[in-house]
Amino acid sequence: MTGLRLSNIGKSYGETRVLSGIDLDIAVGEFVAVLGPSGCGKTTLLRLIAGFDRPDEGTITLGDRQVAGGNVMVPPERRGIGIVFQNYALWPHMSVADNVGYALKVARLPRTERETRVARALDTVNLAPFASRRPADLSGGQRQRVALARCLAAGSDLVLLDEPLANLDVHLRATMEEEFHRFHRESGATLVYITHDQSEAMALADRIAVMDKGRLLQCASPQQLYREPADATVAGFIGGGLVLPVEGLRPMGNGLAMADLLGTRVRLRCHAGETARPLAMASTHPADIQPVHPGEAGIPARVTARNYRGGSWSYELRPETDPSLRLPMVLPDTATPPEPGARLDLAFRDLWAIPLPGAPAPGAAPIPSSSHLTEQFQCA
Amino acid sequence: MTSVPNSTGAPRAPLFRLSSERIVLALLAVLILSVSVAPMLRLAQAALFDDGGLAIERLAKLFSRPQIGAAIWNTIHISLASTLVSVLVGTIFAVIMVQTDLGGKSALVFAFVLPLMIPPQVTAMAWIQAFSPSGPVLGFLGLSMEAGTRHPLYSRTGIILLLGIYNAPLVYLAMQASLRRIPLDLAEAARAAGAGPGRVLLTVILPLAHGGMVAAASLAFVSAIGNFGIQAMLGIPARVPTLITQIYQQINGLGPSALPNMAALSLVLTALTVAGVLLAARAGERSDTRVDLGSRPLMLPLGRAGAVVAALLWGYLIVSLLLPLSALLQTSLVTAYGLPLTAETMTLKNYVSALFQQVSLRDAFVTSLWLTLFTMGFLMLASVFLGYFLTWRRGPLVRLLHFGSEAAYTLPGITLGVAMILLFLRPLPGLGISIYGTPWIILAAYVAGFFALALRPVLSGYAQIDRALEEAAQVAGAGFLRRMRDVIWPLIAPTAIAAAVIVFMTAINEIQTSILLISSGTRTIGPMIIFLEEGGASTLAAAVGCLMILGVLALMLLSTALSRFLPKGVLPWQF
Repeated sequence: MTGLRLSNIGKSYGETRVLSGIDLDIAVGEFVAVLGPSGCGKTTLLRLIAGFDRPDEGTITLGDRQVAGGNVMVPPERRGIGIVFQNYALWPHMSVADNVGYALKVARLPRTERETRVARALDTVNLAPFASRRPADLSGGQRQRVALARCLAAGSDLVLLDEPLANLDVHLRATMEEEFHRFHRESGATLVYITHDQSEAMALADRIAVMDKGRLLQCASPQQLYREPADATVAGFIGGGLVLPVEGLRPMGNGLAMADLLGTRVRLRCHAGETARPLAMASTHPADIQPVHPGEAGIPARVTARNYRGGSWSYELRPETDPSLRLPMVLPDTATPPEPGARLDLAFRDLWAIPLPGAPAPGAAPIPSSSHLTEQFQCA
Repeated sequence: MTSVPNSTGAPRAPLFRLSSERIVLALLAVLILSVSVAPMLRLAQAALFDDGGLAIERLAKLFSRPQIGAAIWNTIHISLASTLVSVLVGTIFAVIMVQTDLGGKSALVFAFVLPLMIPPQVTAMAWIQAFSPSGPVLGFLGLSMEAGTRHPLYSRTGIILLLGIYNAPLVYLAMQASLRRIPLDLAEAARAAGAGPGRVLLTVILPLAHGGMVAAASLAFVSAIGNFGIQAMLGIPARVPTLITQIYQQINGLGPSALPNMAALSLVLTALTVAGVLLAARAGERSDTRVDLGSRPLMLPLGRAGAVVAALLWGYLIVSLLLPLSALLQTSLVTAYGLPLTAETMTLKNYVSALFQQVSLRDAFVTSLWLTLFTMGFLMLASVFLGYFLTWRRGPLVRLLHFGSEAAYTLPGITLGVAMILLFLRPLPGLGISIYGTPWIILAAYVAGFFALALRPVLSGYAQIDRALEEAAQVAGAGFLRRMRDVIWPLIAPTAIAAAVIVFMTAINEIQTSILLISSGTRTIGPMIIFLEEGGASTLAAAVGCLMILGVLALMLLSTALSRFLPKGVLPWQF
């Protein structure tokens, strides 16, 4: 059953195209993170789902009800969704209990039922003793939990979370992530979680929808996103991935392929429908680059720089066949570290052949050739 | 083929749905279009067109009258010169208040801004009495003139000086805001480069505040053009005609037949006002709009000079505020104008008379009071709604409404008065009755004229409300009016109430608009001072003036006491 379906959503503000061709199906009870740099359109997407803005093209369906598209536009107050705002948006003139119970009051629930539900919601987020306080008297984490309780009490089937951890101290984030998991379990609601922080998205979501420049690039499980990126932008964005050119890609069935990387024959994982191509892109991660085991053949490279990172060394290497390339490598500090200038043979422990644009990969969209996303997030 | 009705049961296109939000916006539109925009259009039409088309001949005749040419020239000359005085005084005061560590600033600012809240006709009367040729002040200064000499203030210079001093607080308010926005590090960088405090002021701070200074000058200029109280109280006896006094005298003397020509003069006033506003807007565009870093401004230690500066400032306030007000108070406490105030001559007769005996005064006060209370309450509500649309639902219509309300406020009150007469002289369509000569026309003028006054603080209040608070309520299922009541109103209420207080203080003593709209049956209290003064009842007029000042002062103090509930910068007289 569908929790939320976006079909071919497009939106412009004046001349600026903010969203185009967004297709996304989210199942009931699923936890989906929408991940992308600022300005990628994820906040606009949230406002369209909530009903604060109207899409120029496409339709939005909540459950079996179309709420936007064509001549239909259900206002936010009739969509029955919950939102956890970035700055919590707790009404300063109401007590915590009044904040949590407001939607029920608007819906004219009898007082006793209202009080029961408010008490239960506050109990779930461990804030029962704070019911009569004002939001101003609470800490950031507590306010966040009040905002969660507000959605819990309202019993919304779909809850949108707009960068809910952005305003919290780092040490509170881990606790709040746990809180979100619990909220998801207790409420059974469909969750759409907007964030620019990929570790947050990885830790929380069933699936991650990666957005850039108003397009949805890929929507897949965190592991699939990391191991099988649909295009070079996603590959470069997720986990500080590297994108390297390979020659003579030749699928061998059972999801594996052979190709030449920097003049050396390597094995790659690939898409089931992958075709033989003279040129292709492969993705890998710094953790997958290692010195070869003794006796193994590898790609010759020279150490150009190294930095101590506490417990490990990070290296910069230049392959001898293409010195314009720079490869990162991370090694634990237990072994003797190679000096700058030293020569090493490298092995790539995992490589993925990035499918051709337009290839039928789940949730993938055509890609723009280059992206600021890569530059901005490679080191993150 | 027959069309199939939408089977999903989803709501139809909201463009045509009558939501409460749309109804409120439509009501606001009808209101502002009929009391602000329509009168302006009618004014322009009456000024430029006669029955036979464009009234070139009539206008040519009007503007060839030497008296009219003199009035236009006087208006420009007096407004420009007084602006110069205002900018000088206001800037010096602002620099000292913002950039130095002078003590006792709160009291100084309160006393400096107070005259702005006093109706100009009362200020004019106070000055006239304080600096009369035979009066004690000039005598004390050794400047006493022979009895029978013309009053020194009854002159072009007198008008310029008084308008300049009256509008100086306006310049101060605009300048202090722009001075405070200058980041501290710019001044500190100049100090580090070796510039002394005076040099920093002249080469860094004032150039950076240039945009603010032009805006302030424009405010003072526009305010001087439209200041009826001072121009009438000094200009009419001095025989220095200005556009405003011409319009007043001609309509008073000739009646409705003078309206087309006076509408034309009103258009000239409007053009001058618009020129002033545009100048400020252009300066605003070109000036550096850096973000407010919220840094504290440079605090120059004055050291020993502090005492001298304080003495000079207080001296200025004594001459410009205390002397006139004490002269007014003195006059209000004796039985005949010019009588020295002693233990024997002192009497409260004038106050008793003003408060309890004079039926015309009491009626005027009652009329003013209910008109003001009604305007205040209505505008408080309307500005909260319009402020909502302006902040979060901007569109072409909303922008037009904002423009309409700002225009009606910026134009000289007398222009609004002429426009109101022109529009409402004829019976209302459908009702068959004319509201001309009734309090309702004054009410319409007050709503039009003071809408922007209420709206401005409310808008600054909205700017401090996180929109997510409203959106959260929307998501919780609350409709427009419900959100207004449960979420917006509790958050905006302090600002809206402060705005209402400012409207009250302005409307209760208002003179510029109502001077043209009052009739023998319907008078407001503001113009009564002029009538009493003209009728020779100076002591009674002084008592009424003192009562007005007392009322204003009480409201200022009361709202200052409650200011901790208000966003910063809503009360103009607060430092």
